[in-house]
Amino acid sequence: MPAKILIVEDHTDSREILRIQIEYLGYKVIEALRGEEALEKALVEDPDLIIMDIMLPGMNGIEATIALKQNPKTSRIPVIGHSAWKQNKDKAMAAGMVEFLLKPTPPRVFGEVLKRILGSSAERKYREAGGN
Amino acid sequence: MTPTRPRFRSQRLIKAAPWRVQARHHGAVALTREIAFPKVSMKSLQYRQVLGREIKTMGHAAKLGRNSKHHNQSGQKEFELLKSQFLTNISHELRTPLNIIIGYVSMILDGLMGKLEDETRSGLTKAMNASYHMLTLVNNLVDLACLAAGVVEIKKQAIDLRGLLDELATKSGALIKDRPVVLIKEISPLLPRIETDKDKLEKILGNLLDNAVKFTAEGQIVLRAYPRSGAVEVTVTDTGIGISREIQQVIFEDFRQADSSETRGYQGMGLGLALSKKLLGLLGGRIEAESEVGKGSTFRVILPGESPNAGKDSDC
Repeated sequence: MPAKILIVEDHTDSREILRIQIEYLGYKVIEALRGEEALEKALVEDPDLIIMDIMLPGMNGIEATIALKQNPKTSRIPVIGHSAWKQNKDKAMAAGMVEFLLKPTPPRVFGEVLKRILGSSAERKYREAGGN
Repeated sequence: MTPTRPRFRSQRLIKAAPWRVQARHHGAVALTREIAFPKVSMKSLQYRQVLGREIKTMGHAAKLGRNSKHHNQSGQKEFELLKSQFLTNISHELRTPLNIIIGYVSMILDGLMGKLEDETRSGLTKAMNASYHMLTLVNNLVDLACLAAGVVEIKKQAIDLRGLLDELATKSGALIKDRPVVLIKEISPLLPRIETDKDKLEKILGNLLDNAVKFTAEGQIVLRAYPRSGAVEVTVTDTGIGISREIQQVIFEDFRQADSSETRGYQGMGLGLALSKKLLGLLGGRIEAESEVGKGSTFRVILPGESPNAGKDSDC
C-alpha cells in the first residue's frame, strides 16, 4: 500500500502542484488548508508524513508542528516544512520538523527526500511493531 | 481580477510602524497603522489595493528619507528599515505567483502533465529560465535592502567547502549541457577548514557561476579553490563575452547605480555582484574581477580562514 502523505497548504494552486507531484511519485495524498485542520486530519487519518506550508492563516505551520509533536498520538509523524522563505528554516527545525524544503521544490528533490524520510520512518514503525 | 485574500503578515508592518522622527513626519505613521490591522479592514480588499497602499506608504517614506538624510542619521536608518520591510512584503507578493508559474512549468517539463513536443519543451525551458531569473532578482533585491538596513544575520559554522563546490558545479554543469562549454573543477586537496556562513557563501559563489553560465556561449568555465596564506581563494574563470574596463568600475555597485546608463544592457549582472560584494564584506572576505572583452572574465573570492564577527539578529 502506498504511503499516505498529508499536504497542508492554503494556496489552491500551490496545493494542486504539490498534489500532482506527490501522486506522480506514487503516494496517496490527503489535504488540509489550515493548521487547525492539519491537526484534525493527522489524528483521524494517521498519515505517514506531513508536508507543511509555514505561512498559513490562523495557526501557522510552525505552531501546528509544535502541537503535532506535543500530542503523543501524532508526535511520530515526520513533518517536512515547505516555504518560499529560507529564513523560516531555523524556526521550522526547532519546532521539530525533519526537513525544510524551499519553494519552488523540483519534483526530483521531493522524490529523493520523501523516499529517504519514509524509508527510515517505515523501518522505525516496523521495529516498534516488534520487528527487528 | 478575483479578490484575493491579502497574504500580509501584520506583525511585520507593526514593526515598521514606529516612525517618530520629527513631529512633521506623523503622516506616515497613520498610513502604516491602517495597514497594520488587516484582520479588521483588509479582508475584503483586493490584492492591488493592498499593494497600492504599500506604495503610498513608501512614497511617504521616501520623502521622509530624503528630508531626514542630511539632518538625521536615525531617520535614515529608519528609512532603510522601512524600505527593507516594504521590499520584503512586496517580494512575498511577487514570489507567490512566481512559484506557481515555476511549479506548473516544471511539472509540464517533467512530463507529469502529458507528453511534450520538442518545440514546446524548448519554449517552456526558456519560460522556466526566465522565471528563475526573476526569482533571483526578487530575492537579491530583498537581500540588498536588508543589507542596507543593517539587519542581516551571519551564522558561522565549519563548512564542507569541497562539498559545496561540488554541489554548485553540478548545478551549473546541468545548465550548460546543451552548449559547447565544459566546466572544469580544480579543487586543491589542501584546503584549510573554514568557518563561515554557508548560505551566504553559496549565494556568492552561485552568483558568480550563474554569471559565467549566462555569458559564456562556448569554451570553458573553470572553478578553482586553493589555500592562500591561511585564507582560501575560490575563482571562477570563463571564456565568455568579458567586461569592458568602464563597466568593471561599476559592476560591484548596488542597485542605485545598476540602473545608470553605463550599465544598462548588463542589468542581469548588477544585483548579484553588488550583493556578493556586500555579503563577502560581512564574511570578512573580498572579491576581485579581471576581464578582457571577448576573452572572458575571472572573479576571485578570498575567504578568511577564521572570519571576524559580523551581523545582528533580524528577520532578514
